[in-house]
Amino acid sequence: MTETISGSRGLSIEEPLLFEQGGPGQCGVDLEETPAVIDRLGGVRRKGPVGLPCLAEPTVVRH
Amino acid sequence: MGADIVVCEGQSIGNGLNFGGPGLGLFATNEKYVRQMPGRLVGQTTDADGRRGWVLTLSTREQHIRREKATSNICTNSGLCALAFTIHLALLGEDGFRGLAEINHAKAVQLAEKLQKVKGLRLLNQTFFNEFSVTLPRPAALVVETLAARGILGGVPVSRFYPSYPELAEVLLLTATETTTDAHMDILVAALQEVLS
Repeated sequence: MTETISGSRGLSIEEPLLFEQGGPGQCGVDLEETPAVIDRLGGVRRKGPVGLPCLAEPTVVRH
Repeated sequence: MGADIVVCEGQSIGNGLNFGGPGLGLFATNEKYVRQMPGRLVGQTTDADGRRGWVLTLSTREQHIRREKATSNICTNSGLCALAFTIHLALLGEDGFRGLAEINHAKAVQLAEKLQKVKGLRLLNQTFFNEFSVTLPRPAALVVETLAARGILGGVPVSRFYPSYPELAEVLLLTATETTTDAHMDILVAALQEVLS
């Protein structure tokens, strides 16, 4: 009789955090081009990064 | 900015309108207020073998310890809302989140500029993110109802939030997001021009 095995390895519970994955330039969404306007933010536009990771969609799905 | 407690609205990231709820808020405090914080707090720690792990922390605030005196009040659906938010934010990431904010603001600026064509309408905010208020020459609630009859969600009359301030009856709160198209804006502007003429 042929032996049957499961291809499933179950949950991978030891994996890096989302913050430790990805890399610059990766993004899980497609956004339209930002319309060109003169901003009305009153000078409070954020200058530094938010600190979020940059992740491709498959990375997020697998996580 | 030196605030002790900061709060913000997070519903639009990953969570649907759901006929009015549940919503999703974000907040943070200085460390000295952490014990008064509602909600679960998850902390990073290391186990006996030095491996990284995650645990519920400051458990003395929790329902299973303090019972009716607990400051935490978390149920399954809170977790689902938080998960949806987390997935959406992970997909956006640094570049997507920034890009989304840029688009939201740019669309709101476009809408504000298009609305300048409407006679009798006055923009109240010179600076804003993606929501701004305008005054109309007649009660905003009536205008919104008239627009609704035409199939247009024309913003929120501020009287809905502040019914006891008659001086705000003609103020209308409007927003634009990444889902707003040029066509949407043109339809709203044309309808307002008709309704207010």
